[in-house]
Amino acid sequence: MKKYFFSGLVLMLLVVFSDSSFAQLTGRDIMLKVENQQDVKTRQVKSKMILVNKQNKTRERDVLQYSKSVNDPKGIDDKILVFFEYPADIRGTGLLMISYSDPKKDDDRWLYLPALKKVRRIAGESKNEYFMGTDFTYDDMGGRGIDQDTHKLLGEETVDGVKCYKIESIPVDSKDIYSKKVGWVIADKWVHLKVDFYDRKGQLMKSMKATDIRNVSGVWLQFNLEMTNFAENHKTILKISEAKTNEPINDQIFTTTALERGGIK
Amino acid sequence: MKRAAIWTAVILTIGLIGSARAQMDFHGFVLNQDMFRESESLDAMLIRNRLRLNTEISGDNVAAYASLDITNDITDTTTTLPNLREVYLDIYSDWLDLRIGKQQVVWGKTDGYFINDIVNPLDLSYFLLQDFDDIRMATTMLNAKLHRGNNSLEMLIIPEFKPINLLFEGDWGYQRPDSQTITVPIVGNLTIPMNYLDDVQAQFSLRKAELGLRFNTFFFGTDLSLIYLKIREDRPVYFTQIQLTPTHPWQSFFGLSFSKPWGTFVFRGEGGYYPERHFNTADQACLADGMIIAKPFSQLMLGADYQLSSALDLSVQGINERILDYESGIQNDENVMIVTLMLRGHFLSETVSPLFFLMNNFEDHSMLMRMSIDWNYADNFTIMAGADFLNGKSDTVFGMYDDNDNVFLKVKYSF
Repeated sequence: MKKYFFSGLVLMLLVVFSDSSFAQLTGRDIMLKVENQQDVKTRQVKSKMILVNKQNKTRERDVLQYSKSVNDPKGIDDKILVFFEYPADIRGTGLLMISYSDPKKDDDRWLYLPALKKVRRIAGESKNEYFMGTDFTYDDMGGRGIDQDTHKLLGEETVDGVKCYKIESIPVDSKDIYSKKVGWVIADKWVHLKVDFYDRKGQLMKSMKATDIRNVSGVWLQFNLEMTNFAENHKTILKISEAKTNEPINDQIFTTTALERGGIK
Repeated sequence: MKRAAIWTAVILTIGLIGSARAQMDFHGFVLNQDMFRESESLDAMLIRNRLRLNTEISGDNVAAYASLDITNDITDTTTTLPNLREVYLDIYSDWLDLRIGKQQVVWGKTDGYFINDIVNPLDLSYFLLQDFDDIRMATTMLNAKLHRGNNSLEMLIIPEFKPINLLFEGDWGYQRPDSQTITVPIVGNLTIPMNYLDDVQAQFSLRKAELGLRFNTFFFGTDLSLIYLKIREDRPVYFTQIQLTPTHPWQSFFGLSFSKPWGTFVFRGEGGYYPERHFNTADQACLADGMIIAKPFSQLMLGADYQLSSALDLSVQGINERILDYESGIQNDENVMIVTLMLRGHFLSETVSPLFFLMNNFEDHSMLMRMSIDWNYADNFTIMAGADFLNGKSDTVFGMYDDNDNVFLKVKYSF
């Protein structure tokens, strides 16, 4: 009996301690793990964006994206360069974004439009604007600092048979288009399986779901992302065709000179 | 055309040879463009079909590019020839970019106006109503850009000189005076007919090459450019004797531009200063100089872009031009004050883009207004419809085209 009692006690303690170790993880801790997991030094991604309207008519955008994490706590956080390769009428359009660790500091952004042959400065505060007709905002594309939202762990949930942490993230900036985001983070991969975006009235505005998560050189990446915009009755499917992580990228490409070239050459 | 073909062949060959892993790419568009005068008869001002074929060969640190237009203009049978718009070779390194050949260089930050954007001469055969890509005429030059981080220094050597393309007849003909009244001592006023000689064609001289320098930097969140140009005047200044001979005097130009975001605003500015710019004058004291006088000239633009909503952008610009140390007799206005207003929408996932553009000259009370809507019907397929309104007295910049109010349609397929 004594033996069973001690075994039971040990088991209870294990459960309690293992639970308390989970309980120690805050929403911010989990989001930090998400950021750190994806926070590779460099990333080169080739993807296709399929835009689906309410009549189910589709449009496609082929996108090449380069990003570099600088992680300077007093300076630059990320550098992102995006080029459109398809369709032909926007081919060569490029966007350069520099984001900063200080959440109060706006991103620096430049847009290159081949029709004008001109690099144009665009407002860094327009983070909530949709990116080139897609359902992803500039912020959704990357570069949102962890402390731009307050994160709360709502618990654990199983989504499509996958154990996830459910996190509620409320923007610090009251002018943000979202009142909150609810994300499901895969427990052992530290990557989002699903995110629901709520508008300022608290209505579900958009929902993002990842269906193909692969490991690229130790980093879990969402190879198939579907963003459904309920407010606009529109959908964007992002399919990654090629991804490289932690391969050296020359810092010189994150400049307006590279933007003007219309591609990485 | 023969010289252009040789240029293309040489540049594309160098591009191919120089590139170990050469990739060849063809793209371009087919465009139908129609413009009808806004009158009861709706007469056709432009019915044009155009094929643009761009070829790019690129590889490791080298690329060659050629852009050809084949245009069939039903309203002007003289423009059916193919036109090699641009052809150049690019060589890249970590610190130096070189572009050699016929090319466009865009240095300005102003929308719809040219202050620092004066490297390439303008094609004003359709006034300001063509796409900017068509308004700038590419010229042959060497463009070297040294770059390090956020700083770059560009140097241009431009051996080819081309004057502005200004028509003097037809719908978009620039109205220059047919006669001039001069006061001759004892004799009194004399009205003499103006006998204009034709302007020069493109000229090529390495010894008389135009020069350009631009330094770009980024500090405290501000993009800043400083410019120096030693160029010839693109628009003709007439050396007036018995005949009027178009001349293109040399001049220095100093320019600067900046852009700086502030919340949802982006503030832009551009300035230009010519220590000596040449103008025609009626002042008899300048008879020996062919009725040409040189005066300092300044240009300034201050503007702001503002996001009215996630689907609507607003841009406002104030532009001032001034001939300093002005003297009566100079045939250009002393002061020009223009305000532009642009509203651009992006609706239905950026497939529908309406535009309202107004350019109002407050000095001579003339204006240009464009209203249009772009519909991206499918990937690569765009339909654009709109109307242009020009208003003012017949001797004003926009008013001289007062009869050219029009509606237009463009159908474009890109590939």
